[in-house]
Amino acid sequence: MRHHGAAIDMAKIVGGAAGPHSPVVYKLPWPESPEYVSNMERLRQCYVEVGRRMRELGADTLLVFGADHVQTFWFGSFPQMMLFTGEEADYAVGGNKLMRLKANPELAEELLFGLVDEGFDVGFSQEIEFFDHPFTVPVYWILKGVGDADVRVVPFHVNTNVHPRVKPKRCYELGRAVRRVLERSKRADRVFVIGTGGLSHYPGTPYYGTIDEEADRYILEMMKQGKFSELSDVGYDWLDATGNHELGSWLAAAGAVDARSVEVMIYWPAWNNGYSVVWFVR
Amino acid sequence: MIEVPVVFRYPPLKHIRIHKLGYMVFRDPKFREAFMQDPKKVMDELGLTKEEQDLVLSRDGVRMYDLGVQPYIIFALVWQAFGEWPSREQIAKLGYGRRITEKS
Repeated sequence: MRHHGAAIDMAKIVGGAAGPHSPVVYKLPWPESPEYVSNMERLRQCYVEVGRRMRELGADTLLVFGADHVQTFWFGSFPQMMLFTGEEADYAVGGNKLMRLKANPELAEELLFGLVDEGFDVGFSQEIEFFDHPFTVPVYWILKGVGDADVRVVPFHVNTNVHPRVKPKRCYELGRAVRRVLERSKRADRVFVIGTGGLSHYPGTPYYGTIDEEADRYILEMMKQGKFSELSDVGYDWLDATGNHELGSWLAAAGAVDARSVEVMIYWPAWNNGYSVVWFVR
Repeated sequence: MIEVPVVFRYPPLKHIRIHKLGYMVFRDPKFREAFMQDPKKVMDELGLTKEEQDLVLSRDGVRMYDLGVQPYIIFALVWQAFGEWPSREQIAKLGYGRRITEKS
């Protein structure tokens, strides 16, 4: 559904959300309690709802801030920021390809040039073997809510997972720069932005199986109060200690949306991950 | 404030062979299959030393972490390489669930 009526003479960010990207959210790989299974279903339905709202907003492009987990990129060449400017890309979970989706090269190119002008030296990729779960999982569920509307997906890798990483403040500022660039654009795209990852979890470490509910609730409370800039002053020492290392992608999306608050669609402190989906309120 | 060293660390260069193996396991279903069939052959081809191969085959993720291997690679090596996932039972068995307790 396209919004007609008011003259559209510039690209626009029409809304945004953030939520987890764990492969477990795509499909539960181990047997779990009925409670876990039903909470997981509730979580997935939040993403479906995000997709429905995205459709209502008439969005035609989904810009996804996420961090590659050493699957798309290797330490032979590991970028801090990489914007996909190609025609289309495959999306996989654990390398098993699930979907091939159209991107938006014209818009992405404009964004790339604009961001470099703004002082963000973002790399680009016109061809990629595939993107994995940090991009695939939220997009998979959101597109179920979007239904048959024609949506293009533009992945934006921002490294929050292999040290040294893009600082939270920089992520937030990146989002704000994305907004400025799109506001200047003469293109008619209606862009919806998501940030993927989090909240507390410690994959691959001996801390896996614990979460930090207190830290998660602090983050959500700061966002509710609209204190995104203050929140982005945290460092990776605190983020790593609380398992919230992926907060940067949320902050980038919040900056792009110019969020004033969040609607917490779900917060579920599971044994292995503090799972949350938020809707950015303007 | 809780004092912990960087968790999602820079990959130490000395682990490049282990990291390459984990990357391939993490991203390539066919490679995973080949690894499960004959881990030694696959690791020989990537040039892993005997010590590195022993570490991988031990599936001791806690030790890998303490030796400085990157956590996402550990995830791939301990779980995906063997077609498993870190369920509640598995992490208890392998000594995960370490607590970040030191508060200052």
